[in-house]
Amino acid sequence: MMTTKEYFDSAHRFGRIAVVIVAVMMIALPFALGLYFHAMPSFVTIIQGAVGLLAVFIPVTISEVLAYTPVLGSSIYLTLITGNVLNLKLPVAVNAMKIADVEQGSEKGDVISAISVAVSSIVTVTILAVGALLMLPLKSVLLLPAVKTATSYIIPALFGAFTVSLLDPGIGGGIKAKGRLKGAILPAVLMIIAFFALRQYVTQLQGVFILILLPVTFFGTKYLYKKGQIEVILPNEKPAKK
Amino acid sequence: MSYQEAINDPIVLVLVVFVMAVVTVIAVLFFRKSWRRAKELGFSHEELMNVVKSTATYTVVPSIAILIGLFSLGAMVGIPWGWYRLSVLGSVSYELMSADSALKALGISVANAKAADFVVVAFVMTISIMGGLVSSVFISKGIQNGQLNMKKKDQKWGALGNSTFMLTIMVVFTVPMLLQGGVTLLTLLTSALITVGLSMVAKATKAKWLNEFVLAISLVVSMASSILWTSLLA
Repeated sequence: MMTTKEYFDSAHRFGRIAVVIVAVMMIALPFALGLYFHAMPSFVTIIQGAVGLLAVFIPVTISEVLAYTPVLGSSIYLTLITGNVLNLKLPVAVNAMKIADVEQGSEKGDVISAISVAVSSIVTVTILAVGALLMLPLKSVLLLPAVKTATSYIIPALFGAFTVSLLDPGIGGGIKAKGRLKGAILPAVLMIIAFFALRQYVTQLQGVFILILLPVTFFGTKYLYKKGQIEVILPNEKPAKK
Repeated sequence: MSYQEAINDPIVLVLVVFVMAVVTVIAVLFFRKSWRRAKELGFSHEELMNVVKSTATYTVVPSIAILIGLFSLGAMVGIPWGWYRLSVLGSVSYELMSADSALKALGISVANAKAADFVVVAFVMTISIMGGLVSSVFISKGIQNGQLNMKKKDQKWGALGNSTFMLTIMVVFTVPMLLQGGVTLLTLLTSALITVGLSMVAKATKAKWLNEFVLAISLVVSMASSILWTSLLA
């Protein structure tokens, strides 16, 4: 049986190879279209169309990698390849780890996350394929105003359920962290200030906020832990008496 | 050839089906690798099937929401290309923004555009979203190694430190939703209440199977509740 290090090395090697394969195919697609339609655009034209998007997407997508890798582990590669991270893959993986009671960032968390992301990817591709084929009959139902309203609130519906999990001191693997929400106080206050100061830009700047608040939460929690304000109890360990 | 003819040309469908087939094979290979390792780590078949069932059930509703996004995206870039963009790397919000921005930045009107314009839009939509995918090759392994080292030095702090990443994500997304009020807040609160309620029922009735479906049920019911809140607040 492989050691943990050997498994992680193998999983990351596999993930990186998969990313390279998919990235090459993705770039090749528009090239193939350009050749087929005898209409290869110039580099300048492409950049002209992409520069505004790159300015927004590059910080957002890199912040996703920084924030989500610690949660998803080596399944980050498949997660990014198949997309729909915030509205599907991340919640699915976090839920799977909760059901299996494994710790995020551990090897067990890694494999459970990978299984759930893979299953979710296959189900989504299937549903989209069936949906695309049944586009005409489905359209009248799926575009009903009530259905459109309901699907536009999918993110708060998701996050409502996850907010509840924050109240649970369990952080997976039978480990409990009592008082861990204290580490979220300062980031929450900063986010409140940001909301009122930059209300119309809050959505576009979410990636930037994640990058700024990650160290605030991390080091703030560490400080509180060292000061005894947050107690971590391992499985089979009794909480300290006060 | 016109833009509309190009986006509906069979070549687009052939190419995207090929790419999505490769991505599906990659997903299956990831699944097999992780499943084998999970068994080696001591997970039972039943435990892993619980994860699979819960995941598959939960995935249905968000996938339907993505399918709805395909209608809007399809109007701009055709169903085959839209289907591919929503299955590989993208998400509904990113791809709609990307397609719309590309068309506007290049001054393209779908009604009057040519096949060449579709090729430009395809390039722009592709390269603008690849930053995260490319950076993952360079930084993800280092991040995970850092996490493992942190745990080796201090298991307790390692576990706690790892939990701060999801905590940050929750703060960044939940705080604005709470402050926004209205239907967003009510939907979030409905979802939270349903989750608490179902978890209590599962605990009281010792129906462990219910825990696997709490997220899916909470999602569907709270999304449906948004219709009620919208009509009440209108």
